[in-house]
Amino acid sequence: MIRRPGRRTVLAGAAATAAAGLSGCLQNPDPNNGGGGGGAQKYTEGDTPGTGTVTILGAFGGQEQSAFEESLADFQSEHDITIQYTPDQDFTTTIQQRVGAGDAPDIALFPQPGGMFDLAAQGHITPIDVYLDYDALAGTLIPGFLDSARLQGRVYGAPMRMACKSLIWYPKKAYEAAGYPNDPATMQELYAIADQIKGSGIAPWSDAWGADQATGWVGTDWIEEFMLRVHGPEIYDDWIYHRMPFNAPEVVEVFGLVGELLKGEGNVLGGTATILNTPFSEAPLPLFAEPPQAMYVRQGNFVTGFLPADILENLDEEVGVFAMPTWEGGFEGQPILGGGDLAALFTLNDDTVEVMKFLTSPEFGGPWAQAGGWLSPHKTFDASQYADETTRRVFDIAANAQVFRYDGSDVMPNAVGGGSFWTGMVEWLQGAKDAQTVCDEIEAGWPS
Amino acid sequence: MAVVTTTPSTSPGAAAAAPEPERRAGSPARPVRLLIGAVGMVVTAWLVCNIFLAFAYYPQWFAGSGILIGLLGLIVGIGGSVVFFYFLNLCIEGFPSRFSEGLIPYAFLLPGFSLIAILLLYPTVQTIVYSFANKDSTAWVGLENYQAIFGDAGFWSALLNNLLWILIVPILTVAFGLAVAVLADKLSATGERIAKSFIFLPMSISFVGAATIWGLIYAYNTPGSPQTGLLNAIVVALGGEPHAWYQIDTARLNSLLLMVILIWLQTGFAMVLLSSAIKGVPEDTIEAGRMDGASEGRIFWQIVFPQVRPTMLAVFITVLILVLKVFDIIYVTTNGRDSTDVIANLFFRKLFVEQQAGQASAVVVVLLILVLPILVYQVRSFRQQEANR
Amino acid sequence: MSGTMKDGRRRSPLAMIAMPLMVILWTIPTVGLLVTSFRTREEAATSGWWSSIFGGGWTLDNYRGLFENTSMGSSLVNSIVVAVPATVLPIMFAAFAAYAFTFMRFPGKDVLFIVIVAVMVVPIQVAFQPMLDLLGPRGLGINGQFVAVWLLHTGFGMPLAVYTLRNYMATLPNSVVESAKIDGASHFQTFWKLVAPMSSPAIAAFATLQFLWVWNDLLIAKLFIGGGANKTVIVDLQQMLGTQGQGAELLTAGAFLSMVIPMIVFFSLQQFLVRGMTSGAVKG
Repeated sequence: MIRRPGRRTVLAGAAATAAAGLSGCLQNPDPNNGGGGGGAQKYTEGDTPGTGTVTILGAFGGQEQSAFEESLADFQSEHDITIQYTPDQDFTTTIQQRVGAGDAPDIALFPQPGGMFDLAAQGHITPIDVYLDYDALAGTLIPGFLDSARLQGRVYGAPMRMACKSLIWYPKKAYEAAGYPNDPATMQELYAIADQIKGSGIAPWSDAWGADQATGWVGTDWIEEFMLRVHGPEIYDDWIYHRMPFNAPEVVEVFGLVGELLKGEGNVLGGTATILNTPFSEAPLPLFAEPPQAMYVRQGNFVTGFLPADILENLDEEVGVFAMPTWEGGFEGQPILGGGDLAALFTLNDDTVEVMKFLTSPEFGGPWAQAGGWLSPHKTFDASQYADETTRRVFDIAANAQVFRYDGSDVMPNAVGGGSFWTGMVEWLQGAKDAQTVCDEIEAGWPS
Repeated sequence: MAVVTTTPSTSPGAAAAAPEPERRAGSPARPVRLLIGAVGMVVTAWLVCNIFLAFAYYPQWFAGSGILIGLLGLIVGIGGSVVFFYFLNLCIEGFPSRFSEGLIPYAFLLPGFSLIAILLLYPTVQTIVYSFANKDSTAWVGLENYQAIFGDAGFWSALLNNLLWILIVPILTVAFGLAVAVLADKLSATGERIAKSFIFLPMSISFVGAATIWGLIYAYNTPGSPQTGLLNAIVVALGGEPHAWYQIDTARLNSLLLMVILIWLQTGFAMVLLSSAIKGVPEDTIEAGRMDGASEGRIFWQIVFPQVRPTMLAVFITVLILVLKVFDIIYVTTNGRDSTDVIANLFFRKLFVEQQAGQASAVVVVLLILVLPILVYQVRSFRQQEANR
Repeated sequence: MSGTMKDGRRRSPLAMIAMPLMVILWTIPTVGLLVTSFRTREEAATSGWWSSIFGGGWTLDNYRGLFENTSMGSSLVNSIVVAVPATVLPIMFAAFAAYAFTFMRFPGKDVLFIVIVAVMVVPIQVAFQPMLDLLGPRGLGINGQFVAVWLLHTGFGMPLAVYTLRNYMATLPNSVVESAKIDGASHFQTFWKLVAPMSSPAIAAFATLQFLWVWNDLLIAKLFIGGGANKTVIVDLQQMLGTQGQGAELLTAGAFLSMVIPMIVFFSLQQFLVRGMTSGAVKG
């Protein structure tokens, strides 16, 4: 009944056409060749003159892009260099693809060090000591930034902006009216104030983790903050770089400490159900309700973007902020958890080096600081350029930190830092699984 | 446009080709036609491929403009396929007619089937192969991937959810669709048109959009503060406590609430097709029932229902196929948390978050096995249909 | 209330009560989105959308913000650039195949059509890993470009297109094609001059479904175009839902905007959808 040859003819024909269609075609330009002169080990000014144009790829667009471009305007006219910035929301993938296709930008601004390390390991990126004054840079940057960009002894990128996470925000007017102190030296002192607040009839903390498919990332920050404070930066590094297992006793212990805070009766407004079901951007709103429903939100400097409009207008009078304090009996110095866009160089020539020098210097960013939402990673940045007192305060906190560490979940492999760590936090917070189980599962799923 | 100018000239080919031997049947072979057709086909295919690749490799030639690329894509795509089929036809007519009559059908099928072969058949085979390989498909691991997923409680939970989706969504969608179709049929013409349009509307909404919309229904706020979710607002107004709906996995309530979204989206589709099937029921059969004094209910169940059953089955199968692949709704709402995971979301996570290509492929193979019965059913009912034609 | 309608049918009280209720139920969620898209983020977070219907406090800021601070404007254009060719191209190929299946006799016809029926059921997930290899940097390197998704949607839409068109063509009178043959028309001419125009309802029906599917698709767009400069509206929307949540208030406005074009397409082609689908694909 079934005539087989008919089918075979057609399939053979299909294959033939496909082959004919593809064989005479254009080739993808340089499919596997390295991008530009990446990986060069020596640089002398004047050896490789630039073309007058420098291309930059980054992750941010919109208002941030305009502020960034404005910050480069004077530099471009002074040095007669044209800078072409391309934003790409899917930066992490795009940079891999473009470098893989031999179409690397001259400079890329990595939001996380992980992707930069991948490309550095393949020899596409020039280490910064080749073309920048490493010691001068190390002298002005907040300590810890360059360590976060180091791979096997060489540093491959330098920060051009900083994000600062370890901040505790409070509604200034109500908080001060109630007479609570705003300079607790340790978490234990903070807990004592929190108990006072509880005594006044409201929950001390507001917290929210909701982020649809990314729900849980706020929780990873809690664990990281406590790891850094309780066990110090060295164990923290061992943990995020997987030199010790994820389910080590230190980590499980920290889950317990965070649990005491977040799951403790009356500590967080609405309890775990509210934490998990409220979009993280709505966490600060109860602080500014009339009367306030909570007093503290722990969140990064970007949180000001989520404040109600009338509060934003009088930011300095309405909003107070202090650094998340140290842990009594833990690491002594003030640590700061954060992130930063790392500028990395793919094409080495006079123009690109000039741009890198400026981008990574304390002089960069004046107009961006004015526009808001940007922090310089340099201690020596002229803080008077920030638009408001609150930002100066945050900058102060960061600049005076003894230790700066990258957000661990940004450094861990994506399967953990963007997967099992997030879901694990949710399961743990709702009590579906205990800390040990969650840590065991994350460890088991760590890519080999 | 360098691609276009490097088109090989046709004359050397023409000189080199040996003339076809004549055959004595119907019209004789026409070698010139055959040759022009063949060369035209190859050149057209070559050109179209290159222009399309140029869109990808050199967007700057088109001023980087998406609109221009889209327009040219349309023109080149449509024009190219018309020209290709023209040459194909020419080429085949160049064969002796007995030959060409046999070849034309295959020629007409060729482009469509090539695409199906490249985009569906080859990947299916490849995926089955990958399911026996390691996480980056570089070495064989035998049945390890299947052992891994079968040993994972999350997989069975996802499978159970898929079964629930399969059991509940298509039936309810068809039931709602039928109810609306029947009731709307009893309204005045204007009323029917307006009612149908509103129920139809969600069909044009994306899953992502729908998830946003239903987020406003299922939202949860701390007890005591005003509820922004409609469902909780109603619960609170009736004196209850607000619930975090997406988190309640007792009796898989959260999965059921997610199913509501899909039913809401698809009821319009079911309604439209069923409505037209109902209108297709011959009026005289219904009249005959009325003459016999049958009630409206009896008329519906004994006369109308049997006649729209085939349409119901077709709608059922269409929704069923959709349900098997359901991904977006879960991905953007719960991402599988609180036991709401389904196979397609599990696959996505295995492949792109955990980067376990082997296990991800094994998950798809399970999905393939799940659809097999439907596939067999489809083929059988198609055969029956053909036999009755 | 009681009595008969203009066309003589009896009024049905059940339908007159139940239908408005259904309509309200089915419409409320969308109304909620529309209302919320005109509210500030703060208000949306602190009170239900229904309270502002009478309470006021409306703003156009979300829509303005959408065009000023996000890529939604260009994403809309991208979606059109993706969806229109991805809708039209499969029709071209499918129509020829459907013609062959309907009006020609050839060995293997049954088997080949059964292949079509079968692959309609195959989940597209099977294709992701192999196609990412083939189109990605290790293969053709066209991932991230419009061409990649045109190709994928054309391929994935092919079985349904062939099936729908063939079922519709089967209802066309065979005599039309026979008489054209007698007049000496080639198959190409018969197809082009007679069958294609007569099949326009089925073509429009498939086009509507395919357009909606391509426009609303998240998976293929996310994987094969990604979140770069070419991203579609739906991917843009999904990115707003996830990540850092800057501008979460824009989400509702974005979601509503993303629905406008498919709705227009849908309502203008709706009558064809019914005609094309019911005379062919779905007739038992």
